[in-house]
Amino acid sequence: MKRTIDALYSILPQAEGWAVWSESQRLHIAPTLTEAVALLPLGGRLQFALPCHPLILERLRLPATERDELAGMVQLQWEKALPFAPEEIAGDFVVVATGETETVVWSAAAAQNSLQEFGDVWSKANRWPERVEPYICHIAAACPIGETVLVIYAEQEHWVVAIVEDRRPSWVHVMSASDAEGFAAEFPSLMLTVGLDRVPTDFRRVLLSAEVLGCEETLRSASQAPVEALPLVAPSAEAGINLLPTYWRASARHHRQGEVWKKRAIFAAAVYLFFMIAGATDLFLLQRQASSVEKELSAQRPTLALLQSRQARFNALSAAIDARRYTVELLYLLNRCLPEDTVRFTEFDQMPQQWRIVGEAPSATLAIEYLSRLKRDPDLSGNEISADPPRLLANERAQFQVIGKP
Amino acid sequence: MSRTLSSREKILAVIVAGIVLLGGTYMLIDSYTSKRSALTSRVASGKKQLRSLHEMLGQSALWEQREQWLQAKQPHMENADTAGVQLHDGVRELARRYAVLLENPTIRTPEHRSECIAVALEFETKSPWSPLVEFLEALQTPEQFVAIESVNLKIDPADATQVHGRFKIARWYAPK
Repeated sequence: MKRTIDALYSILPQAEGWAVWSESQRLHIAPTLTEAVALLPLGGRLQFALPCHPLILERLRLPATERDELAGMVQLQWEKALPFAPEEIAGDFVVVATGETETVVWSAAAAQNSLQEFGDVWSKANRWPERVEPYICHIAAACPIGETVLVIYAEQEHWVVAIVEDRRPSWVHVMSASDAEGFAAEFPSLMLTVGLDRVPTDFRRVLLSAEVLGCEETLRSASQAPVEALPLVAPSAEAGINLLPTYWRASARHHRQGEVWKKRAIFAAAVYLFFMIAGATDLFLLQRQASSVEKELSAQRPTLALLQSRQARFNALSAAIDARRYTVELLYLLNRCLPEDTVRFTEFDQMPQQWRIVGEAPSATLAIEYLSRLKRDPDLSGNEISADPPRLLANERAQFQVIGKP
Repeated sequence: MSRTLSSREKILAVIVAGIVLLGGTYMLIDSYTSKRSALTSRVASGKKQLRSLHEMLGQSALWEQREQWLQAKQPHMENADTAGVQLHDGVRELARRYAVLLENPTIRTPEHRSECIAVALEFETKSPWSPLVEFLEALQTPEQFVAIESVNLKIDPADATQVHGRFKIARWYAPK
């Protein structure tokens, strides 16, 4: 199954503000982080590069050992050096050089409070980056492989001096100066500190960003390395450090869960809406069907009324014109059901609502048989026939009475 | 002015929204099922009526024919005073023809009904079964429009071959 990889959008600090990047293409430049975040396209993964000024950047020499143990040592170092609880510190490190007895690491850490100003912006936008790394890491990743390079560039109003060893930051300092004159005054003492920290100073080249041009003279007097312009630095996926604070991580997770629940809620609402529409459509169709049937009935009603009036008239006159309702016809039907000649009528009554016969039979059995014959006769089926039990007479004959209602 | 809800307020809001949603859904489903049931029975009843109607309309030619026959054949009363006498004469003639003894004839005044004008005649008879049956057969034929409105036949207790009859018959004329 093919899986779509979301686009990676990055926000990097620049001298003139914040740059929005899509993969390796710069899309926008905005004066504030809030505006830059607002310019981010919807969707995709986000990465955020921190300027160096809120970070505590250290070059540490530690005993040569495994990376996990180095991490413990660096953590211990932060706890000793920084006035914050361990859970309030967001930090990471890169191994710059490994010798037989010692390892040189460059660490970057920040108290989560100091990242609050950035966190607020992301929180308001309700979007959170997956990775947070110092911008110098992206610059270092853009340097030539295997070279020690001195980089001087500006992050908004701050000038930063960084030494990069084989594409990894080795020593970084945020200058208090932000002009060529101040730089000239501060730079020599920095180089002295670098020397004392045993940081390599045999630079293969010096890279200057456009904003710090004017300090080439100072640099040439301090180093023989060629001075070159720092090219436009694109975001790198190989920065190697992630300073994502736990609060941001939790917020991002919460945000992702919120998005999932939002999608589920939208899906549920869509299903709900679908059923509501289906129900409404069903009722509408039924209503239309009922109206159509009733309309047809209404259209046929005059014809029906005429037909019913004809039926009623004919039925009202049927006693005179329908031979099946004549007295002689009824007498014939009653007579043909007699089981024997010895069974005979003694009385017959007929009125519009009912007829009645009284008769005599030689036995009660024959009287009952007569009654059952009457009930079975198909031509008398339109009559509701009832009879009392036969009455025995003094002459031992059975008298019966049958009542029929048409 | 809006403020962010606390987690307890959010839970409460979700519960309230859930109750409202469930209640609303229940009412919707209830209303839907009752309306559907009413509409379904309306449609079913309408279709049943339509089927009966079509069956009846299928016989409309027959009823049309009967109506035409009625209009052509039903007698029209020309003289209310003589209609009863005419009926009596006819009955008397038949009785004579079939040897049925006719007694106590009484002519009633014409009665206006919704479907006809009835001219009634009451009489008694005395005869054996066989002539009586022939008399009755001749008395009632479709084109005469004579109805026997009530009849009582009784075997004579003294002579079982004789039948006493009490009749009320009427000729039904076309209404005006």
